[in-house]
Amino acid sequence: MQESVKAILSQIGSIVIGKPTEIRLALASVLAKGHLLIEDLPGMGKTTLAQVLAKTLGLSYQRTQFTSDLLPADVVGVSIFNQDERCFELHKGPIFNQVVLADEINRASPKTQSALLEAMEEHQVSIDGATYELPSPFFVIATQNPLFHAGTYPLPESQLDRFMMRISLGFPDIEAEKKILLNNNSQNQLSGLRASISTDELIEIQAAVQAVNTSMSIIEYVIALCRVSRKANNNVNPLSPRAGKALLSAAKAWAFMDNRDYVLPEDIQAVFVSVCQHRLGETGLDSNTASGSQAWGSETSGAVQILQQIDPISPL
Amino acid sequence: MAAPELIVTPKFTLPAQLSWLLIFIQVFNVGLLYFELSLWVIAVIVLCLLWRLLVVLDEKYQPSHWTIVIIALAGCVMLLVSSKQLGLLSTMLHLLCLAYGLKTLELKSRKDFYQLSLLGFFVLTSSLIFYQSLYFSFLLSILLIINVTALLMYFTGKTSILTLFKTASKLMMQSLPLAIVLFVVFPKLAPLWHVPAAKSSTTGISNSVKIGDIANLALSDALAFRVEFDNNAPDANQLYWRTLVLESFDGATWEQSLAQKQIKKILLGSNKQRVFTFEDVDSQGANTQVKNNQAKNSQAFSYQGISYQAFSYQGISYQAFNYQVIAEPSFQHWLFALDIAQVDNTRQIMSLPDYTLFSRQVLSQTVSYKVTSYQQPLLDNITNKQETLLNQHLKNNKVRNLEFPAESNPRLTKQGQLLRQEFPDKRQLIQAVLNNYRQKPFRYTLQPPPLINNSLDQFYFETQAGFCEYYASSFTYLMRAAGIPARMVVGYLGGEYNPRGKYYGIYQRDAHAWSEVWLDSIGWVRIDPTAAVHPARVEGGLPNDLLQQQSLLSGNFLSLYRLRQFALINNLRLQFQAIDYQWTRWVIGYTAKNQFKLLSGWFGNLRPYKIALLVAFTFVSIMFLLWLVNRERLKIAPKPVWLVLYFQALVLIAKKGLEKPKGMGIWEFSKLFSRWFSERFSDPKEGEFSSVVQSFAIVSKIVISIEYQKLSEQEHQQALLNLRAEMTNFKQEIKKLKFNKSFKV
Repeated sequence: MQESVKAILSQIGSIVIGKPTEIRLALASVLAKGHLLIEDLPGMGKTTLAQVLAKTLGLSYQRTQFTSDLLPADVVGVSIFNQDERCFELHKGPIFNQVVLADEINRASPKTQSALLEAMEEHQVSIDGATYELPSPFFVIATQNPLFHAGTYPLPESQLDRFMMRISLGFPDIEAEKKILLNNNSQNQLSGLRASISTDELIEIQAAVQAVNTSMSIIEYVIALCRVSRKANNNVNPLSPRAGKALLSAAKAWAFMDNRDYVLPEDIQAVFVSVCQHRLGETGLDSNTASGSQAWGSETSGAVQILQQIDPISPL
Repeated sequence: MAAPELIVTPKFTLPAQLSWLLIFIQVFNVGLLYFELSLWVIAVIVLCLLWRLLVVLDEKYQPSHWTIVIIALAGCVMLLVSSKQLGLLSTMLHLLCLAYGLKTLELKSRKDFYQLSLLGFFVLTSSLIFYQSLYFSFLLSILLIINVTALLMYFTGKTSILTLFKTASKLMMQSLPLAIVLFVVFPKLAPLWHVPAAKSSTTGISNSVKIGDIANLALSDALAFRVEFDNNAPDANQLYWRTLVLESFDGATWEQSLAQKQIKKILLGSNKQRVFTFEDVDSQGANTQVKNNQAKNSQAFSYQGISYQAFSYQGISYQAFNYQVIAEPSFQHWLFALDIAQVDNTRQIMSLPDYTLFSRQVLSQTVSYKVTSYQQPLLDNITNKQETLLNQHLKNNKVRNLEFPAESNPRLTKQGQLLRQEFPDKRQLIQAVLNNYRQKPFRYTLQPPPLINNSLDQFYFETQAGFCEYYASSFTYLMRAAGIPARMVVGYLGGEYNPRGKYYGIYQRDAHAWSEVWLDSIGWVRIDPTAAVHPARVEGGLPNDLLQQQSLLSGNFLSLYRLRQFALINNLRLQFQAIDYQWTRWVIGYTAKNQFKLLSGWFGNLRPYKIALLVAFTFVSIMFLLWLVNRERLKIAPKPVWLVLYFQALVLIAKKGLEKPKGMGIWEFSKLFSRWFSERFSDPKEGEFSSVVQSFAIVSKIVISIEYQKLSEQEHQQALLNLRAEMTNFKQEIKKLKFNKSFKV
């Protein structure tokens, strides 16, 4: 299984250049059965990452461009009366795929957003009174533009909470950018990608991730981190138990990818910012510079501050 | 059928070092009580400790349960048999020590260790019942710290006695403020038992004096009492500390007469009927004396000296001295004072008709009392007319003091009769006898030639060498033979002034005996025949030649007093004594009465309910404080051993200059340590120290595996063992690190 993970990582890395950490995080989110939100400026490779991820994992995949006039039925699907057969026939929307790429989700109206997010949570959709199971594994990758862009509807906190992670790709460094510019046939490369693992294997890996050992002190560490976010006075959005759960799952996936069957505090720390920052109500992008550079590397980030306050060796 | 489940409880063993330390502690804890314990108890304890020694060396010598029970039972029976002789307190002490000795053979569980430690503290502190000097307290504190060290060693698992001792000292220091507060505030309850006059420890002057007794006493450098004068002190040659008046002589021994004893009994018994309250005795005594004195002219034998603080009554002034006496425990009843002593406001001390002070209770601990002495001639101190018996004794007073066994010393008797014929005037007679002492070759010495049957004749006419009691005794005898009422007074003369403590220290070597004769017109007049023989003794304490004798005889060659001519040693000696004096005065002398006075000063008139409230309040607030301090700590479960070890490693690293950032995990920190280390030691010569990095990496790895991995019980134990081993290695490695300053980042 570890070989498969390595293969996946290297395959994605060959397309999305110079972003190993982000790729790892995205994969961790998949392995932990969580949905992923990628927030960045246009043209940073959000969509590419989502596509490569879906293809490499060998999952059915459909991309939906969210626009302000997109309706819920466009996402979920619609029942249309079939004249020939004299019955209603379901025209499945893009959500009936294993990987759904919701591009620029914050450009759609709240109604449409919530239709997607409901499906994410329930793993099923109801159309005209009939309930349809979504395929498994089911995985939503949403991208969004920074909120200061025109024509965006910010996702409400309750819906942000449904995403296990929010990551941001950021600008590539010089070497990576050189490679990107020299590469002429990126489209061909993308279409020529083959799946590294089968669906069954993926499900197996997901089960193995679930089985990663979390000792009591890790649980305590997670609790301590959540409690700090609740104690701080200026924090409008403290971390919920669901956040704690997501944190633990993501850390398990991270540990698994690190070839360990137990979680270390370092795993928690590695995924903490991605898992928790959007739940804490932070933008994630440095609005002062408006450049799209990662803010969570900076010392001022609230999530980082929370990490610094807890000693993982004796958390409580 | 299922096999019975095998339950294996781990065997309780103490580390070897702790076992040795415990034996050491036991030896000393009991050793302090050596003089208070019966020999057989000490023998049993020594046996137990030796046995324990064997057990420590090899466990197969562990005595069986029944052996211990038998020894314990035998000890109890022995105690029961001897309990009458020992008294309650001593029996209890013996029992405690016996239990302490036996418990050492029964160290089978943690509980036993606790009991042994607790018993140790009890045994150790119980020696304070008997000794309270500063030096002893110092010794005791050190032993106390060592006792705590043993406890620390048990709980921390460390073996370095020196570091533990330091920690224990620190702990003791930290607890000191609370101890002081408790010492000052906590009610001093009366002991539940009567502290007995311990069997051998009566010290100082005894109630009968034979020839040679005082010379023996003078061999001791022990402190008898200390005196601090309020303003001025009398001249050194006037420091006659009256202690005991002996009226009855049987030819060899001077004793208190039957009458004296009876008066004492009456006075002791009369307390309840208030016939003879102390105030009555004191005030009336003083008044009548003054009245009597006014009527009589007492110029001839009055005390010389300039009047500083004068006591004036109807035109005649007498010098008055106010002073405080702090008497060491002598396990006797008598106290010390200058003539004529009046004691203020204490019901515990009474003045006897012979002007001595008498304590109702045996001086089992340091006693302090205030005295005012009026230097006036001594009249009989009996005033209460209702007490017919006393009056009768008063009348018999002169008769009593003329009695002597005439046949015991025929030559002296004859000499007395001759003198009587020769000098009709008593004063001339006395002067003649004193002149005789002066002119004949009498010698003042601690090593007089032996006398047959304590014969005064032999001393007076043949050997003519002796200590003060020889002279006082022969003089008194001669006076009685010559028809002058005379009596023997025993006490102390002089004293050493300590300029640092501003007090006089009076030691057993200052013990002295002198005479008093009755002159009708004046009263009792002190005559010190020693002054005639050896005036220097009266002026300045024991002269050097006698001190040499003293140290030779007592075997006390290192007596600091002997070395007083060396300024440095003398200064040191005086300084120590001054400290000891303050200790005695403020710490030992802080009795229930003083406490009451002090607390009254703070809180106003003290009522029982106020005290109860105060105590309750103190108790509650201390408990509250403890709760407050420990509240947070109580919530947190104690750290598991592997984390404790890991934190030790962190502390060691922090000492070298790298602290773990708070939010950093174990694995990250081990990497950081390695980076930090290689940055600091870029020099290849330092490369050998990379074993520290390796060692710490191993430590980190093991801790991680224990803390985060799922381990079976066996793996867990193995990991713990590995961790301990690696920690020892790591400690050694990091100790080797010597940071070269040039490598500082």
